[in-house]
Amino acid sequence: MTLRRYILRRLLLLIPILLGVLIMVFVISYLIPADPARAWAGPQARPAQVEALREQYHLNDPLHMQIYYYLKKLILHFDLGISATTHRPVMNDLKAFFPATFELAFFAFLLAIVIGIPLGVISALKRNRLIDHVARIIALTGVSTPLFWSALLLQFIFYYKLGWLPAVGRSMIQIHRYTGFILLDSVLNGNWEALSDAFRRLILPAVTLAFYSMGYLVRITRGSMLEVLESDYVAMAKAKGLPERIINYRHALKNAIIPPITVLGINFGWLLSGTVLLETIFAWPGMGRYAAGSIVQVDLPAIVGYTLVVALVMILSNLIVDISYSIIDPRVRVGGKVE
Amino acid sequence: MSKGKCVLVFLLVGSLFAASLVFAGGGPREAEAAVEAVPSETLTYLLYGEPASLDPAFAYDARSNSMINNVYDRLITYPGEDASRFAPMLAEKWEISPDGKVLTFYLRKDVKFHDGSAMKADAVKYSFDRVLKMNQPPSWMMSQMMDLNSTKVIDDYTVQINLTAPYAAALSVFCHSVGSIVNPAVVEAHGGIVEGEVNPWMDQNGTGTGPFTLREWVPAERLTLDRFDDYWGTAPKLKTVSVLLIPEMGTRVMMLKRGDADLHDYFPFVNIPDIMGTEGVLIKPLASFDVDFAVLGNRGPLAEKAVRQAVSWAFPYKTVIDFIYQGYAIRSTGPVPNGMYGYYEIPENKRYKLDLDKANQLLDQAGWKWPGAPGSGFRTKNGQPLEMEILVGEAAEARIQQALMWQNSLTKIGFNLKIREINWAIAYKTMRNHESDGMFTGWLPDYADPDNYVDATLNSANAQAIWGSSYKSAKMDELVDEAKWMSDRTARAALYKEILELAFEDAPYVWIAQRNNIVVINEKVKGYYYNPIQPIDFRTIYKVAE
Repeated sequence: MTLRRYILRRLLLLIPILLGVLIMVFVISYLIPADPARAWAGPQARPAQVEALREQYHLNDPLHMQIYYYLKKLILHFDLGISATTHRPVMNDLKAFFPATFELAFFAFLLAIVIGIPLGVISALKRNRLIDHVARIIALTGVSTPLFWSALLLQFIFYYKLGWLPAVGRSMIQIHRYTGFILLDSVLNGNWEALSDAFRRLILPAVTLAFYSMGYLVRITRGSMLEVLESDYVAMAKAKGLPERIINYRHALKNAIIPPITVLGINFGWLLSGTVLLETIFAWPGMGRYAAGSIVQVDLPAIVGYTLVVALVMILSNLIVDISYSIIDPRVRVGGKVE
Repeated sequence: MSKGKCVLVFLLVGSLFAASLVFAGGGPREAEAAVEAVPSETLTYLLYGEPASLDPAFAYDARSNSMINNVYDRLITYPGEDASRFAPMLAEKWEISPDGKVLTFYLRKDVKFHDGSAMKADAVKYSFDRVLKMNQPPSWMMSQMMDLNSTKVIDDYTVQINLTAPYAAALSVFCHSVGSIVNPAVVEAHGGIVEGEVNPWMDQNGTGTGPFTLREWVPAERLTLDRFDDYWGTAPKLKTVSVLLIPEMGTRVMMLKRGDADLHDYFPFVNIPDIMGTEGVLIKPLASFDVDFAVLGNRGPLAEKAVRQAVSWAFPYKTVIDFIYQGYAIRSTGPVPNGMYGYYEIPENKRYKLDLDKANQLLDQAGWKWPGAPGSGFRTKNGQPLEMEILVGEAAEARIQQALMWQNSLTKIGFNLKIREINWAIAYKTMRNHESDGMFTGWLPDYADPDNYVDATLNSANAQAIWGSSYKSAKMDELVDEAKWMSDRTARAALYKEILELAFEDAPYVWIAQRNNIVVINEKVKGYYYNPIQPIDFRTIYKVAE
């Protein structure tokens, strides 16, 4: 199967998958013994006002009708409904929160790759030497340390004790948000103070997230490199007298990078769904906080919208990972057999 | 240049750029000061949660009201800390007819909306009719005493309200944020009024006459209020109020300790030790009208008055106040809070206190028997076990601790208390469906009148609709309704005394405490005052220079 056909097939599969996710979320929300209208109105509202909210959001309608109304709006108007708690279109909310998560995930991801992969490679090449032990300790610490603990610790040290970095938020300087990506928007506004402020606020949460992701990357890269370094063709390359640099980076790494890419893809998808604990500690207005707030408030339109977006992100990130295999290793034919 | 060297140069340049961004502005502390500049005209306020809406016709939570009350004005207000009388606001003066049904407000002539247009009587009618037509959560406060024919414009600066019934607390209702006056032209330009529906623009924006305008609301990040320089009243000293939305309590504590945040009200009791002793930070415990209680479902074993009284005698009130509220609360003996008109305190020698002997005696007399020797196991009666399940909100640490303490006491009288931690949205539904027996909860005042508390808790229809309690007393319903519409304050106070004595006798709830509002404030912040009914008022606050 050609790559183009493979991508097309995977994209078409999105439709039944997302439909299945949507139905599942509706069913679960329907079955939860909560009173969403009461949650939105507050405990002090009178029954008449609560009932009015129920009518407004079709909560008294049968489940299949609720799903029908939702799908009709989604297909005809690309409308994810109105959040019952913010009263903003869910699409607008997601457009506001998703860039925050993407920006954080992207930089954490970048940091994890820039440090994690080289460290994993070096650790494999210098096996059982000091650098290897140090790298493995760092990796294990990254993987084992709870995210919220690292976040609190970094905040305590770098904000509270040293005063080097801000504690919370994305930006305290008002700029016009063209894209929702604060760093990019700061540049587009020509506001260098805002850029500096946004960058400084990104550091602590990005480093916290990166530390966690980097731990996995180091371990997997190291393991994969070690396996490849013991393969026959590497021994052949050594026997041929090729320089070590060529052997390690052009031959070994290219084959060893496949498992880390798989991890990266899944990891990035997970990062884009938001990490509520981290976002809570740093008051980062991302998808995790949005989801957590929606769930606590039983904000059904927001819950459904969030779930659809996350499902889409996970599917697309896995697709990108699959495509990257065939780019890195031309022998891999996606959707077919390795020749 | 080789590829490797290119990469090295790229990394070096990138690092230098990143470093310059980190330290731009002259160094860490100075950069922070320049970027998060907090001059004496800016107050940084930590709000304990995000507002739901800025629309006075929809918002029904304290966080939203704290913003609405600074962006909008009402006809009347409470003077400073005093919640027992009223002061002019948009109305210079008002009159009440002898039968209490007609209120006439004479408006100020110098009031401007934030867009510069003049505020006149038609805006009052529009605002009140809007609340009634939209029929959203807070509208019941107006619809209980008004309809669409009630508000009449007499002239540009005179408005008359013809109540459908002489509600004694009518003036208090107009002090609530639901009585805020909106700009009709701006509302009409942004969706107008749609019956039974919210206005999304009004949820996110402000169009009032208040001392502050809403500059921005960045969801899940902050709200920023700017001084309205054309304000009709005394201009606020603060130029800007930066309201930060920070969910993590530890982070808020750090910001208060470093002086990066100036004010935090409704500070949790459990975190007081974290901030106590911080130089330059004051902790002010202020008497509020917030009341905490346990709902007794009044079904199963709790359908019996003797059982309800027994569990009331088994609650460790003093221990809870001393250790869980850390002394920052006073004992509550009924729904009406101490300091409010209509308050009546059950005498010391009569009120419920921890007395397991009395509790045991009541249960013995009611026929609840021990399975074996007294003190062993749980009592039963005609095969029915003496037990109840009580719901506690998720992560509501203080209430969980109270439940555990109560469980310990109840075990000693042969009562099995099962504690279930649950999401609060599910809790209310569970109670209304009679799928559980009790709940720890509380009540914050809507307005300064005993009816706001009594009607919500002791009226049988509301007891079921709001709390899921099966408490039903025809006599109580009659008394509550009579007191609601009574205009003679002396007679009304006597009636509330009778209501509260009956509530004590019937024991449909366990009244626990009237808690303090803990305000943590930087000593450079002056002019703050607390009114137990009104949300925070930024107009009087100012900061002395650094």
